[in-house]
Amino acid sequence: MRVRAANRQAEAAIQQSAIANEQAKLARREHFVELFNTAVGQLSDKKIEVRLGAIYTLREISSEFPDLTQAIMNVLTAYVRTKPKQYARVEVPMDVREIMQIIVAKTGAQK
Amino acid sequence: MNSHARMPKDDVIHVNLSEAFIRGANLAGASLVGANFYKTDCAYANFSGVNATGANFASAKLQSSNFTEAHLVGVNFSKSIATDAIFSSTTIIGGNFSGADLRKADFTNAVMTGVNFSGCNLRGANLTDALITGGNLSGANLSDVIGLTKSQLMSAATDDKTILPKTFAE
Repeated sequence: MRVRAANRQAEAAIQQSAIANEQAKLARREHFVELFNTAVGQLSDKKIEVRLGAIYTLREISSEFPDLTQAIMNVLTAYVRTKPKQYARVEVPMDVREIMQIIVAKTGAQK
Repeated sequence: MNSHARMPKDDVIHVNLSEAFIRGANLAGASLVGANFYKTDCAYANFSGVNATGANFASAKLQSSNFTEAHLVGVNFSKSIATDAIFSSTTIIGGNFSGADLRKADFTNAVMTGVNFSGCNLRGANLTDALITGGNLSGANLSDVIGLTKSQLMSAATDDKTILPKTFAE
């Protein structure tokens, strides 16, 4: 009798733990979605350091949530497409350079 | 570290940089499967070692760009400007270079199968040790091409508008 009760308690504890784990995962994803939205907004900032921060944030989100990689790639390439079409050939702007590195890193693995 | 679902292995990340300005950018080693570089300014860019299967470089600016050892299957380079571009040791299968400007481009040691060079300008291009099988050179300008042999040419289709190197007439 006592053993059965203990087993039921253990099962309930496992279920509770699984629910808590799932809730933590959802909370974490919600947090990253907020970060994603903030970063996308920051890409249009005038300051290069803010834009770079946004690019690095998007890279990290892609690492944490690979299922968001295509969406992040769409945002970053859209950003490059809307950049002014001028600079000397050897002076690739830092933000464009970082995005190219992200493309290499994220697509390199899919060969 | 991350318990969320990973991207499936066969899920390709698509890159759309059409009409962008990425002069001198370094994309060496990237997988650009199905990527869109239509009308993109990629002059001086580094694409060495890329896998660009099915990519679209139509009307792109590719002057002095570097595609060394790239894997280019079914890639569309039609009407692109690729003067002085480097395609050495590339594998080009079923590509389309029709109407492209390939003056002084470097195709040394490239393996090219079923490539369409119709109407393109290859003047001064280097084809030394390039393997050409089943290509289309109709209407192409091959004057001053370096390293082109008659045996290379025999496996490709030419027409009366194909301009051959002067040395071939001798």
